Amino acid sequence: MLGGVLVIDDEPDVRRVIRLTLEKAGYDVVEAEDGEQAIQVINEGEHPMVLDVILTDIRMPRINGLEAITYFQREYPSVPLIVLTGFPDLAMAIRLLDCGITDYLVKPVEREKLMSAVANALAQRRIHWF
Amino acid sequence: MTRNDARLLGEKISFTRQGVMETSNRLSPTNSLSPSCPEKNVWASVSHGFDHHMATPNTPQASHQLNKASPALTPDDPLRIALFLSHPKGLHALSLFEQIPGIEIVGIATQQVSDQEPVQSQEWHDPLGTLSTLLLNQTSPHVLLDFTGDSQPQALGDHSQLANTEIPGPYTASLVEKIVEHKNGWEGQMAQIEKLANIGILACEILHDINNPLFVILGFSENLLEEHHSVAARDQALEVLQATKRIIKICEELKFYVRQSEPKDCTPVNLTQQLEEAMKVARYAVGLENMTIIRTYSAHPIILARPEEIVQIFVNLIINALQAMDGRGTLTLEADCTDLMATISIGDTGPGIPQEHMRKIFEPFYTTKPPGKGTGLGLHSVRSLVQQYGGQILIQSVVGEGATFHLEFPLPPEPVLPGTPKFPSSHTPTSTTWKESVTRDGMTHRKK
Repeated sequence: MLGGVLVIDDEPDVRRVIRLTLEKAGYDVVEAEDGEQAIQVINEGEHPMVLDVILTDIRMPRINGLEAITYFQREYPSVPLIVLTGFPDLAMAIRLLDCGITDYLVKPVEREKLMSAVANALAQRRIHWF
Repeated sequence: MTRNDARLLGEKISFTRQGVMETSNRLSPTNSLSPSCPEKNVWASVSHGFDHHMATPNTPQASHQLNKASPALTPDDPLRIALFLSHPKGLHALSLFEQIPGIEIVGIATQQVSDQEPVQSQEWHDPLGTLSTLLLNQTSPHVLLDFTGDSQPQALGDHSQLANTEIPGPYTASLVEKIVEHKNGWEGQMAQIEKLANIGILACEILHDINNPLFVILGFSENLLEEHHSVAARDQALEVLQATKRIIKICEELKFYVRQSEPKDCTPVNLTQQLEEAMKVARYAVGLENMTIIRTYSAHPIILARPEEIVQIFVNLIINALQAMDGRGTLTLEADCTDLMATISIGDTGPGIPQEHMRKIFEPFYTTKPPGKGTGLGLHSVRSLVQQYGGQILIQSVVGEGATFHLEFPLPPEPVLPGTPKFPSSHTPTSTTWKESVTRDGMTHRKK
């Protein structure tokens, strides 16, 4: 197994295609439909150390991606975050990258680019380990 | 237009205990001037009476003579106009005059209203004989404009009452009609510009909603190229198909909205149906993830209108409501009707409209929105369209609690379609209420 990825998106078909793509590439995938469920998964589910990368949407009900990012950066600063959104917002992308997210991807993103972003994030995670 | 004579115009402006309520201009059925007077007959009799009193004041020569005698206006004086109207040109002129600062409509009389719109006839039913007396004796108009096109001179009563009133001739009335027609054509183009501007305002959210299924299509297609299991391949193909259909649905909804309105006759239009059509477009105004939508449709009223224009009215108001709440709040959509009037209400729980903005919000290019979020044409366009259908807008707002726009449209009293009962079943109260936690792809979380 290459590593564990938490996928946060409110659209089930988006989660399904990401899961399919990442699992085929050898990643372990955990899904959450919004920030609230993601926090539950990461705190009440498996130990956070098995989580290597968080791939999150921005626009979601209840706790949205921005709130979730703030939470994860505070509680799990070593876990790299990738934003995958359908909302092309350059100003937000710059702001989030300044705040330390690893990548900002706008849907539709090709598999190669997605895999590359996850691999880079995972490499960053490994650096934190050593 | 100044608003000194609310009684004559049927205009009501009141301040409720909860907040400000304003109505737009229109003639009210509760007009205090002998509402039961049969208009056509009165017009005929007064016209006949006029023939004995006046020479030909409607000739250019007569106008010129009156012009010479007219005292000059100071810049602060409103120009007081009385109108003799016929449908629809006179009503269009009235609508234009209402929007012009410095013009005061002191009285209106209608000659006759088309047989196709008897409700409007009731709405605009002013007893001409009484009104002409009022116009001349009490209101002292500077100008009396006759849009009736009647070859007989106007029913103006005694010539001596006209000492300070100009009566422009038929050429001037034609000139004003042409200006109004030109302005209406421009407004039609402006409505289309407003639609396209709205699409620009909604573009980010539309992109968001298209990009998600595009990502699904792209991802599953890439996987399909390497998929060897037929069952898995079929499942992925189904996902691709469903995502494609989502995009098609979005495009269809937008296509319906942006298509150019063609000048055509009014057709029976179900207002709640158009409200739902509008919602399909206006939902792109903001992210709806944390928005609650409550629909209370006590009736499904039908009016005679052009569907695209009704959708345009609703889209503008819903966009405003959603933007006012900035992603969190409750949007309320209500429909109700009486025997004569249909009411659609669109409410939000945003910051509300301060009293000082109330008078300005219908002015063209007036906006409190940040750049890129509004053109300032939306409410102006809404008011023009609502008035075009003989309706009115009431605004109820409490600063800090929200605003509700109540739109009232006169209902047709006769069957709107051949074979339909006088009051279609769609008018029957159905009391449909549901609360909705919105999702991107439809109304999936309804609670009755």
